[in-house]
Amino acid sequence: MTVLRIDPWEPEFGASVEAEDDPDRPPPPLEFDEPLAWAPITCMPPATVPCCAFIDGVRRVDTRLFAEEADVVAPALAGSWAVGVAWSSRPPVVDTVKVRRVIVLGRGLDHGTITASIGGHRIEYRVVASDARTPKQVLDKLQDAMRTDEAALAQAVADTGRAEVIVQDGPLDYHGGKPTVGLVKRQTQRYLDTERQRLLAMLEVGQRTPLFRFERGRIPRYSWYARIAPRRRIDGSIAGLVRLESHQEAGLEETRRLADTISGMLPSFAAPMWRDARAPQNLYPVGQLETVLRNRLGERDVVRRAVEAALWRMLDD
Amino acid sequence: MTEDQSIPVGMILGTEDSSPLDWWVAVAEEHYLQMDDVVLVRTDVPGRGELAISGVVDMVRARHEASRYESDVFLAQEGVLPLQVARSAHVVTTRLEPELWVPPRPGDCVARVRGVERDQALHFDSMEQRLVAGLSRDEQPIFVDLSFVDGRRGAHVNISGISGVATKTTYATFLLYALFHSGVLGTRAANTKALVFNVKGEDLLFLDQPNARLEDKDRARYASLGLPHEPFQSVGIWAPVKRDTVEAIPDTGSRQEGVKGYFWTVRDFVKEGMLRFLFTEAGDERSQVADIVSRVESALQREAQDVEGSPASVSVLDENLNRTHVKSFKELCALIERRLESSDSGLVAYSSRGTVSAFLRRLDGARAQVGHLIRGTEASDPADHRIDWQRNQVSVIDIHNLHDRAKRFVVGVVVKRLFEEKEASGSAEPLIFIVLDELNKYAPRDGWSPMKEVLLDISERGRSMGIILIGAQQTASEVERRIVSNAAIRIVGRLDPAEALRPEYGFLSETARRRAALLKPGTMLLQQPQLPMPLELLFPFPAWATRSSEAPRGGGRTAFARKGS
Repeated sequence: MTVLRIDPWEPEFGASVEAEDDPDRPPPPLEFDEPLAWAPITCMPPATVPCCAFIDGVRRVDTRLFAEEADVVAPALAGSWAVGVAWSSRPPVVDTVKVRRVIVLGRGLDHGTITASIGGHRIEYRVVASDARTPKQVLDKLQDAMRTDEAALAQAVADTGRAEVIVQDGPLDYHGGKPTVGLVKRQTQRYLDTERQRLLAMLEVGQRTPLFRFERGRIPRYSWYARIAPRRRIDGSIAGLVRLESHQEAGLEETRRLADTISGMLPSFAAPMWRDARAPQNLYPVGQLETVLRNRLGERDVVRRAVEAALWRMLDD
Repeated sequence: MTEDQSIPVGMILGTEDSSPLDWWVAVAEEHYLQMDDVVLVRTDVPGRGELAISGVVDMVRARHEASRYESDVFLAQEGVLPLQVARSAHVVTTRLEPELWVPPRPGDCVARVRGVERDQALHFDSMEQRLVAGLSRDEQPIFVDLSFVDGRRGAHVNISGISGVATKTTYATFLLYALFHSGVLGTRAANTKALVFNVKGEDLLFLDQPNARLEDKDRARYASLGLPHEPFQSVGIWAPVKRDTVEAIPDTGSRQEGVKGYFWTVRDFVKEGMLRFLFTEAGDERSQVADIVSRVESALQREAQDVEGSPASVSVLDENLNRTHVKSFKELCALIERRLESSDSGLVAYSSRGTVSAFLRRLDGARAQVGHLIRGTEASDPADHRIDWQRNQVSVIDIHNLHDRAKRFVVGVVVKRLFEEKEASGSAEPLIFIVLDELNKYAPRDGWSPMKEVLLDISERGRSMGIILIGAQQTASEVERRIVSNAAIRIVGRLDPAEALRPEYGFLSETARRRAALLKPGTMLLQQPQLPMPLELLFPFPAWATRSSEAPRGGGRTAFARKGS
């Protein structure tokens, strides 16, 4: 019999489980290195919250554009992003915020830097030429640019040695510094076979699955699922779950320790459902970091008007 | 960094409106602003150049920026939720230079100012003669413009506050001290006089004694105010004479030495028309009694003749219209009674029997309470015991032991005589200051009395005549409106929160009203005409003794040490 269950995320943020292209895309081949049965592993919450660095970015399309040259009309956009770090220090702080603005052009077209003025300030959009052919592909370029900055920031934070754990938003699509974990909030790909998948519904708060290893984008990594918030009986089986990744370079033993620490610690960072549209997966520090970053992007309407004014000026010159 | 340097502390913030009259400052992480800090912001006005806007901080606040839930603070404490603390200060503009009524802009740098810039912000620089009135919380002097005290542009000081906490009398005395000892009066100081009524306790009977409890930090405060720390230099202390003694012994508790007993003579009483000041009870004016009072008073005044060899008494007409020598106040009262009971005396006129009885009842009551202050032929050396405020710079007149009716009599008689003398002299110089607490007793809001009339006259005409009233009361709402509103300088100490809401304190901002309920002894709020808001001020521990235990040769009363009154 079909049973209906709740996806706790607010609908305008999409679903917490959303396949990108093909929901039945076959998972990459997995290796199971932990010498354990496929059963929940209980991770104790740490006595004191370790000093974590949560790294995240937000991006925004300030305005969509057309790039026109002779008969070619290419999709383009003016976009902004900001990346930063939220520290779970005492007191917790947000720092190292960087804001970037770009014009992404498709179909190999090019253009000079665009300078827009807001009040007495100037904001510069440097140009990223690409071979994108659809508006979605242009947006992906913006996303990639932001992800590159996130990775660079994670590396810079790792270099400082200040953080006991670095939690980065999304999968780890770069070779990075230890001890970094990628936190995947939205499940877009199925990894486990049907039998192993059943374990997910049985995970209690603070429990994780055993590790599984695979390679994506030629980056080998360990991954595991952990439940960070309780699930109501009406909620879908993977509500309150996150998937975590870490680089394989760290080695199995180091990764097991890291997985235990993180999985035990994350429930204390999970926001209750009423608090965040993407609770509980959108952690407290990450949610607050995003608020700060969005604020740094500036008012969208003001920025958009400034871009328009810049285009008018270029037309007049 | 010296104390005299201005320090940048923050910026005009952009999340609240700035106006030319008030604005908000975001305070930088490594700095702070407190209430009453004086700040300055310079802003560029297109086409007009730089505008300097000064102001005083009247509220400071701190909050978590963009935090949505009260419980966020716990999460922040646990290291889970990163939140930014934002501290900001609200500033009320005190001066724009040049006078361009434009607001500062978000992002303009704000500095806490000292020295010349602070003086400009508080208009101290434009005061030709400035009288030091206390210290700000950061130990900088606060001034008032003398021209608003001495009658040139304004006059009178009014002080409100709860008894025992508000230190009204101590502050009034401090203000007098500053007037006489700061040099602000220049050569006028020598002739300027003050008349201080001591209405409660014996606090003011030791003005001429140094305070043995003065500490070094107090001396330092006097130094930062530019004042010496010493007792008043020229003080005359007057106390009512004891009852039933031939000698004019002052009726005081802890101090006898150097205190002069005062009384009036029957002659003074009759010739100077003092009868009315025996009839100052609330309600006296409503009956026909007032009519008889004035008729009796003027008849006696008209008929009175001096008696050879008896300077303290007079002769007047008796009920049979025969001239008779009235030797004592008791005899005078008896004579008045007999004349009113005789229909031939011409004093009763159209008054009813009941009104006459009411008058006599009250006269009898007054005689019991005031009679000992009016002496007849038994008085020795009456001229020496007549209050003379010209003898000393400060004359303290003790009335605290007297019955309420006698208090009103003394204040009424003294102030009236002073008023008449000043009126006759026709000159505002030299100035005379009258310090009187419990104004609500002498000039209550409701009703009429001869006492209130004299005080009202002073508050309305005193400015041109050189009589300056430093009045005080617990609650300004119970004092005649015009007396309070004529005071150019208004001061409040600790106020009852309900009292602070009354319209008499309209000069206090919302925050000032709230603060008035929290003021500690030694702290006052001062409002003066040049500034749009009251300033908080502290004044130093008295350099003069306020009780016998503080005086060098003081007795054994040690309680209440270092507490104001």
